[in-house]
Amino acid sequence: MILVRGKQFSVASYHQEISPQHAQSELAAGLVLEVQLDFQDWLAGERVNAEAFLDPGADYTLISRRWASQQAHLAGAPQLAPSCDPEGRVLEGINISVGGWRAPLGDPERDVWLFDQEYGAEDAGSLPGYEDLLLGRDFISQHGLLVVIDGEGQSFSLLAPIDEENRGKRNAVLSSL
Amino acid sequence: MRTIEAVATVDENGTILVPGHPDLSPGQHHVVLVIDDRLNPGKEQKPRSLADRQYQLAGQYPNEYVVLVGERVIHHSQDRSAAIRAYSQAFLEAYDGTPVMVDPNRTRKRRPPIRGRRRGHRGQK
Repeated sequence: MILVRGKQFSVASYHQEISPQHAQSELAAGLVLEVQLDFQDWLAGERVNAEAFLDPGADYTLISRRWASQQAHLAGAPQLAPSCDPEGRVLEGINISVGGWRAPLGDPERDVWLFDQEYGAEDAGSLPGYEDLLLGRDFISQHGLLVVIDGEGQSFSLLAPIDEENRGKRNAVLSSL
Repeated sequence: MRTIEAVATVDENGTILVPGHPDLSPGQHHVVLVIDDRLNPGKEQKPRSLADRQYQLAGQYPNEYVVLVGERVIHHSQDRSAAIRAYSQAFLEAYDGTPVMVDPNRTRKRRPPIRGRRRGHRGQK
């Protein structure tokens, strides 16, 4: 199953909104993809849209508290964030949908964290960047995904090698190295 | 005779170091030491962060879901659904702080450091 096929590097809507000049710069565009999230309790389990940054260098998957608050306002819900503990760890199940693929985001071994995302904050505990969530290496390994980044074409693809065709592609790439 | 309470440091040789007291006259003094066996007693008495203090408060209700805002416990029960309702309701109240919940079935994990993307060129206008 191909979740993302040759998507051009891009920036998130929030990036364009809050920092339009920087959003147009050559280095701003990256591995941004549209996803949907649904939570066990929050927003009554409704799917909500989000723009994610796929970051293989990040250890953990982080969700923006700014995004959560915006989604709650859009839904007219008073609860401005999913349930989380004092450290910011999300305490309810989350599913992520990409294209027609839906799967758990996080598991008992891989926590998902809610982080403040304050523009201009130098605080190391603040979610960097302008996307709604950051999909870390934990997400990639949880589902055994194959990430193909084409620097020349400025595009990326994301494959779930669960079928024979994708497994063949994966094996062909790895064996050619 | 006077009483001085202080945190003393014992070095590798067993020498006891006590912070200076300007009102003591230089020279030798006869002292009686009462040693509190807890290591770093000052640090134990005052948790450092809000999260530390919240976990300490939640610890009063073992095996229960505990909902807090700041250092105020607003709900505790063994019923997860009731705790979720209380957590949600807390956003409607005029509390000073962000609601959080402690799940008795999850051991505490420290907030992770961020690796991967850093602020820098992406954080500039």
